[in-house]
Order: sequence, then C-alpha cells, then structure tokens
Amino acid sequence: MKKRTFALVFLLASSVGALALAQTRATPHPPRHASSQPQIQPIAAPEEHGKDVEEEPPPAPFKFFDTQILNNKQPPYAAVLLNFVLLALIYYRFGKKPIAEALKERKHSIASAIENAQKILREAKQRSKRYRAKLEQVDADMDEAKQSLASTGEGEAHALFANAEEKAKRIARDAQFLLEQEKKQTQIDLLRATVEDATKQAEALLRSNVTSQDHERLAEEFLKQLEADYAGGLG
Amino acid sequence: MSAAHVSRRYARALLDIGMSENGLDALVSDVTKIAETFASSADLRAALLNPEVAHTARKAILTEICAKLAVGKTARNATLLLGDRNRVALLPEIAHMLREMNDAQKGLLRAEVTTAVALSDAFYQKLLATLERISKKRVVLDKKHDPALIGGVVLRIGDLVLDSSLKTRLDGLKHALLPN
Repeated sequence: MKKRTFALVFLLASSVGALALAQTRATPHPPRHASSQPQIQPIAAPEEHGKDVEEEPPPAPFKFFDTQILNNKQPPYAAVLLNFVLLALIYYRFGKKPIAEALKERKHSIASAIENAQKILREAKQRSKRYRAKLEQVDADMDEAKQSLASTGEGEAHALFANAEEKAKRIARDAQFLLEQEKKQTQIDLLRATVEDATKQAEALLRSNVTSQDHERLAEEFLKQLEADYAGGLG
Repeated sequence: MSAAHVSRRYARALLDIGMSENGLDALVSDVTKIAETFASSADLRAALLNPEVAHTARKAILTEICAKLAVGKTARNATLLLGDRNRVALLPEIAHMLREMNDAQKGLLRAEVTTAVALSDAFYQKLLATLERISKKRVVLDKKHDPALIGGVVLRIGDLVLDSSLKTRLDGLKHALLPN
C-alpha cells in the first residue's frame, strides 16, 4: 500500500515536472526589443552586427512558487525542489540496501586486497632481507671459495710434484734394474760364448793329441775305477 | 698297448718257440741279423714302413731278405707275420729283448763296451774278468767303437751305464762352468 502511494506520488511529480520542462522548451524566446510595431533594422557595420548576435537576453525573474505551472516560461523553484526530493527519496528507498551491500562488499574486498598487499609487502621485505643477507654472505663465500680453490690447487700441485718425483724415482730404479739385468745377461752370454769356445778348442786339441797310449791309460783307469766302485758286486 | 709291451710279447713267443725247437741260439742269431739289416738300411725301412707300398710287395721284400740272410724257417715266418701285421718297425726291439731273454735263460750277463778306438785284447780280457768277478755271472761283451767319445770307455749293462769318456767329461766341465 505504502509502495503504491509512493509510486503514485512519484508519477505525479514526475509528470508535473516533465510538463513544466516541456513548456519551458516549447516557449519561444521573446524578441530582443519588445515592440508591437515593426522596426526597420538599420544596416549596421559587420562588427556591430556580430555584437548584437552574441548578446544574451536577461534572465527571467525568480519565482519560488507559481500557480500557473503549465504555461510558465520558467518552472517554479518549488517544483524543481519537489522533483529533487522525490528523486532523492526514490534513491534512498530502492538504492539504500544494495548500495550498502555493495559498499560493504567493496569494503571487504578492499580490506582483503589491503591485507594481501600487506602480506605481499611483508614477504617482499623478508625476501629482500634474505637476499640482502645472501648478498652480504656472497662476498664471504667468494673469499672462502677463493681460499679453498687456492688451497686445493696448492695441495694438488704438491701431490702432482710428489707423484712426479715418485715416478721419476721409479723410472730411475727400473732403468737401473734393466741396466743390471742387461749387464748380467751380457756377462752370461760372454761366459757362455767363452766356455763354448774353450770346450771346442779343448775337444779339438784332445782329438789331435790323444795317442793310443792315452787310450790304453784311460781304459786302465776305467778298470780300476770299476773295481773300486763295484768291489761288492753289481747289484 | 705300448710298443715295448708288444715287442716283449713277440720276444717271449719267439723264445718259447726256440726253446721248444731246441734252436734258440740260432733263432736269436737269425732275428738279430734281420733286425740289424732293417736298422742299417734307410731305404729298406722307407719301403717297409711306407703304407703306399702294397702288402704283397712288402711280403716279397721280406721273403727276399730272409732268403739272402739264409735265416731259419721260424725266423722267416716270424718276420713275415710281423709284415702282415704292420709290426716290422718293432724288429730291432724284439731282437734286443729276445737276446736279453736268451741271455737270462742261460745265466749270461751281456755288457756293451764302447770305446773311441779299438783297444787291445788284453783290456777286453781284463774287463771281462772283472765283470764276471763282480757280477758272479758269465759275461758276454759286445764291443763297439764311437770316435765321438774322443777317449775313455762307456760300459752299458742293462740299465746301468758307466761313462768315463772324454766327451762326457768335457760336457760336464762345460756345464759346470756355465751358469744355470
């Protein structure tokens, strides 16, 4: 019921306001020089003519309330005020709740956004702090790495040097061993060749110098040895 | 079965046949002659041991050898049997074993004496007497000559070898001088 009444009032006010506005637009402007007789317009210079055209007519007298609403050049101020009040009421009636909810929601979203932003800011600060600490640590790490590399390189150099020394000693030892082996083998070969040669020469000497008396003597020696060795029997 | 085992079997069989026929010495002599002929001739060995030579040809060769050497029937048959069974290569070993068995049968000791040159008979008599005294058996000496010995004597009695040759002494000296 209340809503119907309100709607009726709203329609009425709107129609009155609209009618007033329509009349205002429909009413032509009065002539610049209100006069019943036609006047001959003097031909003015172009400059003067331009000046006349741009001049605005003076505003109509202010009316707060007028009974002749319909045929009025200017709507009364009260109608305009009423119109505005009605509009404000309509806005208040229908727009209060959704606007409040929207604002509330907006408030929440802004709050959460702020919270997120704060969270991101905190994280960014922490990250920045961490990175700064890391940056500070980088120099120390770099120095440490340099020292470590230097000490490692030094150690490797020592190890390489020791290894090379050991290898050189081993090579020298092997060479010495090979030399001794070669020396021994040469001595053996020389001795073998000498012995072979000596026995060949001895054989040749024996063959040429052994006489029949020597053969007989050797045979007698064999007999004596046989008797000495096997005096007790052959078994 | 090893060749020595086979040779011993043939020698034992020949020994039994010789004893049963009372002609063991002749059989030993015949077999020894055939074996020496086989061992001394490389051409004969090549012909008899060549598998490409026909069996009849080999038999004819052996028959001819036996005829020329005038060996007895038993020796000839034994030789032909060896030819039939492709055992001719065993002839020298069979002859050696047969001789050893014959000597053992008679209680003889066979000694092989090798010298560089032929020595005086007095030496061989002394050697024979010495060997008979120390072995207490009758000894038969097989005399051989090998100039490679240079000098001295090599005596072989069965498996026993007594070597006093100059060649062996020189070899011993050489081995003693050389390092191991």
